Amino acid sequence: MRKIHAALLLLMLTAALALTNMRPTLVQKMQSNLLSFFSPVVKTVATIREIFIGPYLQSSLSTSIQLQRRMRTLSQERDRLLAAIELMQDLQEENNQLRSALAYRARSVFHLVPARVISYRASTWWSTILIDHGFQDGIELDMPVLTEVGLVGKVVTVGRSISTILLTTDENCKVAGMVEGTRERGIVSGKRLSSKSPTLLELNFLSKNAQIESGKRVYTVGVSGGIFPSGILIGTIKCVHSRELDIQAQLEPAVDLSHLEDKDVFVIARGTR
Amino acid sequence: MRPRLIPLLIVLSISTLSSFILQDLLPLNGLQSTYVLLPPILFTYGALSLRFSSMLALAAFTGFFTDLSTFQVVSGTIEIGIGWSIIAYSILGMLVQYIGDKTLLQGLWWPHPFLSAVCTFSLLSFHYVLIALHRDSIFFNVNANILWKVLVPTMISFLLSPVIGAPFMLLETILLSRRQTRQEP
Repeated sequence: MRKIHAALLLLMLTAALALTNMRPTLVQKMQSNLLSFFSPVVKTVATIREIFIGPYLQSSLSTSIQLQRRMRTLSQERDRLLAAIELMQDLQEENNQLRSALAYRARSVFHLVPARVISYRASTWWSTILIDHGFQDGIELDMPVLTEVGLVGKVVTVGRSISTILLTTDENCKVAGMVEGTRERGIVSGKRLSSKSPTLLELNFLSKNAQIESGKRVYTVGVSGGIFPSGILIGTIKCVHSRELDIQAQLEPAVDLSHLEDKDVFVIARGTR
Repeated sequence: MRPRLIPLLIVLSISTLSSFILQDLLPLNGLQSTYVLLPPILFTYGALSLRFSSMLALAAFTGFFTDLSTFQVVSGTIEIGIGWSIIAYSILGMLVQYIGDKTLLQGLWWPHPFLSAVCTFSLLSFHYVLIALHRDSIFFNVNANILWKVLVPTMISFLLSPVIGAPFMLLETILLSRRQTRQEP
C-alpha cells in the first residue's frame, strides 16, 4: 500500500468517525430531505409498477361480473359506513354539549388520513415501510399508523409526499399496552432480531401476580405525553412466561405486518380535518 | 496503475443513488424478510475498476446514503450513527482492490459476482454486529434466522452481479478504447 493511499484512508476513516457523532435532529432533517428528493421518482415508479406488475401479483378479479359484484359490495359497505359516521357525528355533538355543560376538559381530537403502502424499505435489520403521504398531506413525525384491524406502527421520517413507518414488530417501536378485562399494563415492542419468531410482539413489565391468559387482546393506553391514543388493538396474547421480576407475554400482531404491500392504512393526525 | 475513469465514477454514483429507490420498489421485496441490496454490487464494480482515490470517494458516497436511507431516528435518538457504512465500504473497497491487483483479476467479469457477494455479506454482518452490540451485549446470538437474512441477499447479489455489471463493463471498455485512441498519435 502506498503512503498516499494510507493517508487518504486514514483521513476518510477519521471523517467517517466524526460523522457518527452527528446530532439525531440533523440526521432526521437530512433523511427528510432525502425522502423529499426521492418522493417524485418513488411515486412514479410505484405507479408504473402497480400498472404493469400489480395485476400479476394480486389475486385477480378477472371477469367483469366479478368486478361488478365487488363494486356492489364496496358500494353497500360505503353507504353503511356513511350512515354510521352520520350517527357518530350526532353522538359527538351530543357528547360535546354534555362536556361543555359539565365544564369538562376537552379531549384531543383526532382524524384519520388515509394512505397507501408503497413498499417495504430494503433494510434488513429494521422493519419499515413507505407510504404515499408526506408533510404536504399533513403527516408529522411520531404519528400513529393503523388499519381497520389494529396498530401498524408510527411515522419515523417524513418526506414531501412519502413517509417511512416503523412497524410494531421492530424492537425500537415501543407502545404502552393494556390487557383487556384487566388493569394490567406493560410495554409492547418487537422481538429481538435474533429471536426465533421475529413476527411476534413482546408485552413486558406485567406485574408478577397478573392473571393473564392466552387469547386476551391487548390495546394501546393513551398515556399522558404519549403518541398513541387509547383503544387501538395491538395484538392477541399467544403465550405467557413468568420471569424473576415480572411476567412477559408473547403477542400475535392484530395486523399481518408481513403482507402490507399495496394495502390501505390510516395515519392518526391531531386536530379536526 | 488503474486508469482514471471519472465518467465511470459519476455514472456509478448516479446509479448508486438510483439503486436506493429501485431496491425499495423491487417486486417481491421483503419476501421472507429478505431484501435485494443493489449498492454493494455497484460499489464492488467501482472498487474493481476505479483508482484508489476514486474508490474512496465512491465508498464515502455509497456509505453515507446507505446509512441515511437505512438507519432510523426513533423518538429523537439514533442507535447507530451515520458514517459506519463509510468505514465498512472503505475497508471493503481496499480489500477488493488488493485482491484485484494481487491476482491480476482486473478487467475480467467473473471476480465481480464473488466479490459482490463478499461485500454484501460483510456489510450486512457488520450492521448486525453494530446493532447487536448496541441492543444486546458483547455476547450476541447468531441463529438460523440471522443467517437466512444475511445469506439470501448475499446469494442474490452473486446472481445479479453479472447482469448489473454488464452495462458498466461496456461503458468501461468504451472509455478505455477512447482513451487509447486519444493517446495514439
